[in-house]
Amino acid sequence: MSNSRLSVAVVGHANAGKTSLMRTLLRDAKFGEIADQAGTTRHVEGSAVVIDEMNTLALFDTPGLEDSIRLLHILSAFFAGQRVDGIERLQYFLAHLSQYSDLEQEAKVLRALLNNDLIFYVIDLREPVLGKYRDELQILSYAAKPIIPVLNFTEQGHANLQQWKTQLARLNFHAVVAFDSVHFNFADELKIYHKMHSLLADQEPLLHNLIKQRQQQWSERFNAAKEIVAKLFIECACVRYQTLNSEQEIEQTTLKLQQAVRNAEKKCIRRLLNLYQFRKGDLENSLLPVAQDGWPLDLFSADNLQEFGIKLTGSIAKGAGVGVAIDLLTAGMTLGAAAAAGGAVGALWGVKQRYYDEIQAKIKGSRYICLNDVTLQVLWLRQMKLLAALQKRGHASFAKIAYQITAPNQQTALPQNWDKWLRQLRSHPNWSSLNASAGERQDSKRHLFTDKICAAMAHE
Amino acid sequence: MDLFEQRLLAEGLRTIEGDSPTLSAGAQPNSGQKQVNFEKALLQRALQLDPQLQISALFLHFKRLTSRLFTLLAVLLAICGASTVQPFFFSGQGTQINFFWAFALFFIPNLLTLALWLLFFLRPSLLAEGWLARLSLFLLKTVEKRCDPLSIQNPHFWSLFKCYFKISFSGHLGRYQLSAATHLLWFSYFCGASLMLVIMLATHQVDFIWQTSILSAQSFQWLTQCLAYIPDLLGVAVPDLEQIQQSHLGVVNLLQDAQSSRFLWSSLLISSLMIYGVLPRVFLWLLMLFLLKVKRKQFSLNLSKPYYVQLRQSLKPNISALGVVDHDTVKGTSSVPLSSITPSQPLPPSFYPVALELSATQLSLCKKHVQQYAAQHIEPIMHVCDFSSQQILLAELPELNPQAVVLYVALSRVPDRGLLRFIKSLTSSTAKPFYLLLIDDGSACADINKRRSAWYALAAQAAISLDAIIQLTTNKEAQSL
Repeated sequence: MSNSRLSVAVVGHANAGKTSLMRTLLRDAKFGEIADQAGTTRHVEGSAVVIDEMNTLALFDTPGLEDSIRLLHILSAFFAGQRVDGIERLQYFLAHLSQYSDLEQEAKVLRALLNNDLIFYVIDLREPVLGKYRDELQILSYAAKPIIPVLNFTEQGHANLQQWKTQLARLNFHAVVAFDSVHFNFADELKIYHKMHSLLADQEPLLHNLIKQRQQQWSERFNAAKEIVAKLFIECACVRYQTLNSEQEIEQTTLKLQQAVRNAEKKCIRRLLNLYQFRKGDLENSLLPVAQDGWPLDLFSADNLQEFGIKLTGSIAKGAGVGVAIDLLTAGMTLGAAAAAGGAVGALWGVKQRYYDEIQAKIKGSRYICLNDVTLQVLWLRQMKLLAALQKRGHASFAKIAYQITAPNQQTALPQNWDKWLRQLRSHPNWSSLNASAGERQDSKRHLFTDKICAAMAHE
Repeated sequence: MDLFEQRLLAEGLRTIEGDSPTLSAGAQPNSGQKQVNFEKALLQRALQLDPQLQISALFLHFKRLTSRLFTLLAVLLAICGASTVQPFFFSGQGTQINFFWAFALFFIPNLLTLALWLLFFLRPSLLAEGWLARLSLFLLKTVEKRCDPLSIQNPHFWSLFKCYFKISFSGHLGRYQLSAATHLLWFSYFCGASLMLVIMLATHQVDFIWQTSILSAQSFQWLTQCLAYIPDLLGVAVPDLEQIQQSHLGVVNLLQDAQSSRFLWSSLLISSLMIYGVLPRVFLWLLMLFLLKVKRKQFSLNLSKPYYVQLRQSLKPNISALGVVDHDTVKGTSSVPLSSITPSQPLPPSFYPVALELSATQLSLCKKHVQQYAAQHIEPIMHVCDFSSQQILLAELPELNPQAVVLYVALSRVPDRGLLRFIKSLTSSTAKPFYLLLIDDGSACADINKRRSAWYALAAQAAISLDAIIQLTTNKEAQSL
């Protein structure tokens, strides 16, 4: 199997967002140099999206076309009175470049046009349609390569959208894609690949694999992010610290709790940023407001009783099972006493497992503190906001990600089963590794709960 | 190390690293390794880190430990099976054995546990519960602390044991692993029992009888014939109908008949034990071993876990840099520092306005401004935005009367070489003074000072005096000069 590469030249006017587009498509915030001025990119630089071991999509960033009016005038002047194709005009120009040293940057763009399979023409939608842009499109058409006009900065330049579409249609460019490299939308990225697919029929397998791979990576990343957030929520909702019933002790323990929860959130955020390939500096500093509350244990709540009932039955059955085995081994000489004793031991073990810590705390005169509901709500909403921001952020964006929640009581933004979740989670303090005496975490049940939270996040 | 063991090793590494891959594998992948897929790359990484972390050594230790445990249990069960023969069959009361009672004592527990096994086998989620893991961990801790305290010095000993246990003894693999163990143990039990039975029957003389209080004699005869059907097919000597009837309550008269009956019933009991006890368990044991082998081959890593998604980004990056392919040899234009900008001159009383590449809004602002400051200008304002309008202006400019030319440009637009070239050609075509009027209509611009500086740089290069640059700032509420 031979290596296959599809190459794309990213061209456009100066400051149209070519490098920004590259960064966002490559998910690489370090690619090239971005500045709010013309001529920032002065050479042709490439990077490839790796599709699989054999195939890549190479993207080449080019300097901006800054003097297309003059370039087109020069190109038009060649072969006066002769019927000559545009590509020959471009080749002639490049062959006689020494006469036009001031158009060295444009020459690089022309070479990139001729050397690649496809052209992305990046348009800054904030700009009105000007003569120089029309001339750029005219020059691009000389290259005889498929061209996809990419409308960049769609959020800020929405007013010019129709004007640009009309103008592009007049020049016979119909495969237009709106793609904002700062306010990212994955569906728009897919549209680019689909347009490529329709323009390059001979590259169908490669582009099919590319689309499949990008979709898979996108959903993998989102699923992983959901799992990270769900785990943080479980860790924080199940955490409880034991403290003596004095003000000083409670204050000290609260500080410890705050620190532990903030560290857990920091860790989660760092993982999310890594996952989406953003930098720590992209995030606005924001401290989680943490407040504590007493650990709510209602022994007679339906959830607790249900949970306890199931566990107790299980423990009795296991104890009795061991007893039955002993009875069998003794050929029934124990007259079922082992089974009965096993059941009783199992029942006691079940009660100990569930309520030992609480009973011990009562006897010792201490109490448990945990995060209050508002803190958990803020924590949840912050992660949701951050996740949404990461999903919609292009790698060319300079704005800091703000994820602070100003109004915590956003009941509508909370999941439907929020209260039920909290009740269930608070029945399982052993699910949080933040607890000093975290025992067996019952991974299977914890995983099931994580999946439940992830599913709820997907529906939001 | 086979593929399953390598994947197990990778899971062990994941257990040690926790949520994110943090350890460095040392050697960077060479160009050949870059061609391998992600899973192979992560397995290679695990193999590279293994000598340092001793994961596979610990897994081997756990494997040996569990196989030793199963062997020990098998031996114990064999002894247990052998020891149950005497109290069941050869009690001190006499020389008669109730055949069906003896058979039931062996087979009813066997059938019950078979049903229990089937329940666990069909519902493997029951095995995912932690109690088995906790019990095993407790036993292992106790044994290891006493017998091999050095082995638990590895800081990841318990977490790796949990990982090993979780993969090998719960979920899909555990279903087959524990099934194989169950059948092995019952096989041992039956082997012990059969062996002891053969020995006891060889050295003791017993008569086989059958008894009932509520069932009919025909039921037992039918049951015995059913039981004897397969042994009979296999050529084992089994009692016929008459001998079955005679054995009811031990009504065998002749000595020779009694001798023959003892032999036939003994061979029926031993062959039943072999065919209905040992053989199914052996068959199920081998089947489970085979399925376990198949499942081990099918065992795959869940690469969608956050840990592996992050690892993929570092081991198999989505992008590969192709570098610079067309170098720049010319230095870029420098901008003018804002500190060198001098205060603007006022506009002359008469000037020729030229709009350069303005949007519709900017053009209307330009027109308003012209009406306010150059009322004498009655012609439509020239909007230069393409080659032909550039040429017209260049042709007309030398013949124009006004004292000066004011170029209206949008501050938000990036000044480029094309515009510079055109303005240069304008300033060189006439001796009239030029003014550059920057329209700031509030359009989006990341750094307005940087943009203003770029326009000053353009003006300087185009021979427009820096104090001839004027800024026209507008917003929705007010316009100011």
